[in-house]
Amino acid sequence: MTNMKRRVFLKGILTTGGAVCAGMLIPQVVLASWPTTAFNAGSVDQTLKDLFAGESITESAKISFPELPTLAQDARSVPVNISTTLPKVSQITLLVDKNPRPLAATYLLSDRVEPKLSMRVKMAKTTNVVAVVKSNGKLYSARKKVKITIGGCGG
Amino acid sequence: MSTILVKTNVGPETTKVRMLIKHPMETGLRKNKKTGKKIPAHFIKTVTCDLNDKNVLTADWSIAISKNPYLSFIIKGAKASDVLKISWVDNKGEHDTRQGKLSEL
Repeated sequence: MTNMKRRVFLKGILTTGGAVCAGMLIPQVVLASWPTTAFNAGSVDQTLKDLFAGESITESAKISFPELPTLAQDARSVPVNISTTLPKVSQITLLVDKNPRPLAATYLLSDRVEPKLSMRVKMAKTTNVVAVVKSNGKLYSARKKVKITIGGCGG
Repeated sequence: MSTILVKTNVGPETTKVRMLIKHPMETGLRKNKKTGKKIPAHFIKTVTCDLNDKNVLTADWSIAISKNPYLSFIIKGAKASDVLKISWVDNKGEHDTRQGKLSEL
């Protein structure tokens, strides 16, 4: 990886000049942390193993999904928010159990950010939504079921 | 025109940041109904949020995040004059950045 980057960098200087090359490098630097293996994993268990190297995860009632609907109107855009009262939260991860690739998103939080995030997520079918929170260096999780109706008719 | 739409709500103790990014978030699993060919994946992988050049939040996203992604978060103890910088980069290497004072975003 480092060698590749250096090669790209050198090539950039030789062929296109420094300015363009600096522009091209930005995405690579930003992308450095994207956990490819975990994002490609096909099950929740495998994803957690890839992402957290088999660390144990404790269920916690201090994690909630305040506005997550139990019945989703539009599977392409389900509002998900994760909130926790756990202290010193450094990472929040969201998994959608029945999606082909369960890992939906993982967030790294500094101590300036409150552990309350909202987003919109696609869901393939009726599924459990799992949140994993890293608090004080330990992992905690919570889950909630979301029912997906195709075409908006109950079932 | 930036692809990033930001709304901030600066309060005495916390600041709520809401953003909407214009992006197709194509999964790579859908097929074009006319040609039967798969539409290639095109999705945002990483979003970074910096406050006064210090990283406060980094999001790594998958194809499961909805089209035109929405994200909101809350910053503690920020001032209206603090500068927030939001950047995204997708799987094709396309990227965009928006920055400004919290009171002006």
